Amino acid sequence: MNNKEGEFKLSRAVSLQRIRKKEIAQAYLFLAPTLAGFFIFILGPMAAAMGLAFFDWNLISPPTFAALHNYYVIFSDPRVLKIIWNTLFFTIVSVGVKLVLALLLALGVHSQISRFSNYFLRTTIFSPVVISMAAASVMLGWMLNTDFGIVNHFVRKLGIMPIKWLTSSTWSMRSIILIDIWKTIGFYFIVFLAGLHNIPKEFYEAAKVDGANAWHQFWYVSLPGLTPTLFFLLVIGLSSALQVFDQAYILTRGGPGDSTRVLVYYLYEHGFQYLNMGYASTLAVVLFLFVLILTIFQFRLGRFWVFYQ
Amino acid sequence: MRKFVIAISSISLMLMLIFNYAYGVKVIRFVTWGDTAMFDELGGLFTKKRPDIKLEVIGVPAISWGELFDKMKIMVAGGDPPDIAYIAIEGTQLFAEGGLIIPLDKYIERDKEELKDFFSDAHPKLIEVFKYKGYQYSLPFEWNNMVIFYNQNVLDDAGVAYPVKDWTVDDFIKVGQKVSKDIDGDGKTDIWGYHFSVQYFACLVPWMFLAGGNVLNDDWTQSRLDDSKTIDAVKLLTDFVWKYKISPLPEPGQGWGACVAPFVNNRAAFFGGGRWPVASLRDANFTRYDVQYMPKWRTQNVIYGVGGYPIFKASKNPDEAWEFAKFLTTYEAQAYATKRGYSIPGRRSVAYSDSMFYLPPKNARIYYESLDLAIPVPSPPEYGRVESVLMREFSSAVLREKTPEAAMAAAHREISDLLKARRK
Repeated sequence: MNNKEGEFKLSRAVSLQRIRKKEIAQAYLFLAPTLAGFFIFILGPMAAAMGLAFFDWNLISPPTFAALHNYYVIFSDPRVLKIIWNTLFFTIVSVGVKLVLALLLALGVHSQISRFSNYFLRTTIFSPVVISMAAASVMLGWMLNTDFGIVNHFVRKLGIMPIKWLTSSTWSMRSIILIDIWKTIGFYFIVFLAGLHNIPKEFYEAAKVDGANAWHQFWYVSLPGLTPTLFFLLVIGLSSALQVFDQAYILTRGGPGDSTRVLVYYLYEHGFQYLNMGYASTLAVVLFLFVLILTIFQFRLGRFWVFYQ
Repeated sequence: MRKFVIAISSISLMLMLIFNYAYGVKVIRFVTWGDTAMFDELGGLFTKKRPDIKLEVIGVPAISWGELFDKMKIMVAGGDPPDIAYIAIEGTQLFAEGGLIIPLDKYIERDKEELKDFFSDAHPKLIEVFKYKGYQYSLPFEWNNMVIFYNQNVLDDAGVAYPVKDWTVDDFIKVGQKVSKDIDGDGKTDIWGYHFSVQYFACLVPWMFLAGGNVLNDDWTQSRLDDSKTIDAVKLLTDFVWKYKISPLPEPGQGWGACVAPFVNNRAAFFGGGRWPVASLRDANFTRYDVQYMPKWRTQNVIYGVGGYPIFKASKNPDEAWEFAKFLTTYEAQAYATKRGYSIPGRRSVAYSDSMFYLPPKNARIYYESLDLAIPVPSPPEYGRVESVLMREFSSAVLREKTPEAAMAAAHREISDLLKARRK
């Protein structure tokens, strides 16, 4: 290589490096608003909560250092175990039922040949998702009233005793789970439907050629093809369900007794009703760690059962 | 044309802002519970007298005093405090203990001539409740007690006489049982004797007073929830639902407002309230009702709570806030609110004036006269937590998740620990 060629290559490399740096700077510029929002509104408060967990603070007087006292209180608070159980029960049942039901609905709608019935069913199933949970809870609170609610009006017509939907510890959590399923199953359904659309038709044709019936097609083609979708819904669904609050706050205020008191509602009570911000922050940290560990575990386990095309 | 209108509006707005700034119009922020309409109007009346002060009214939705106070505390903690707020007796010690509100003694002393008429016109009990550790934190604008609202249509249909002052709990239960009925034969009671909700002031504590019990002792430092008389009140309310069958199950998460709809639809004979339901009944165009003292049990003591308007320590305009607080003690302001069916006025002269009898109930004179029998609602600095614990356990008892004894024992333990922590 002569000098001129070498110089040309060097200047070209330098130009490319400058262009690359410029592109990187532009990329960060475009990312800046989102990153700023993340640091200010998510990472910052998270760090503050983690710090506050070591203090006693009533929002009015200056915080006082409490070391691990708040963590000790959590583990010695007799109500916390019941509240954690309520939260886990809600999570497991509501997410489990939603996954199964939404999958069945998606398979049913996916098999609809008529375009009209396809659109109609999609709209009907998805429409509760667009209502706010608070508005839905207020409305359903009246509908589920033991003595005056319209739901028990029809229950009586069936010859059944009125159900204490929100006024018994047996039924109150079930009612909240049912409301959550009705309200959010549309989201799971739409995601499953999109997942089914993404499975190439050729796979089904090949399976048919090999003599696969409807069940075989589902088990050997649809389900493996849906594993990424299932994984996504499991991760999102579990972390979201562990943070349930609206229904417990509006419908039952955590009652009767502690039967529908969930972790985030308990955290809210301590933070914003009792102004016990230190303890509330500790509860938030415990919840965060639990969700983090669960999510990491799901990702690790996902390697063994999620198949990407 | 459109551009012209926009330009003129913008210039007018700018001129108004400049005028306000130049001539020093101070804006004071006033926080109240729920609907702001009445205070918007009172603010207008006040501004006519004091054009240099403008009132900005902020309404906070809440279903209990505890919730309202929590939201106010959050506003203060968030660096967005009001100048003056509607804080009833239930919150006075809470806010005073936290150093959030200022004593008004220096203002009262300075303007004592102007306030002389008010102090001679207001019952001393209404003023004393706002004293804490020797300082006066608020003056009464309005107050409430608890009486029984009775539906004249329902009682007439059942052929039952209207209650009289010295009626008893047995009379109450008998009437309740007579009027409670299934009118369409579907096995469900359609008309109930007595509607109640899981509420501190508007349900449980008044019955505790009638039983001869109380939540706390006289100086609000110890729990009395282990007193058998106190527990009897919880038992009675539970029996209204399960034994006497005169009350429907109260739904958690619903306030006293859930009692009004059945009442105006002639589906309930009785519900409890102060004077605050009068406005709701007026809005529903329902006039076939009256009020009577709660039935006599071991006592006929009446609960009362007073609405005051303390000034926040963080206020940048305390002098102006005081001018509004003073305006609220005037005959004009209290008569205006009373006529709208707001609450019982702090001034005796207003309570016996046409403003009070302008709307039903006819028996409204019992409101002010009940003060002689009245005991203030227990309102320690830990009010929010006490209310929350007690309502949780009360709802467990009335829904038969726990016995009344077990529920009150649990509440007693938790509240005692809370009060002990204060004494440390």
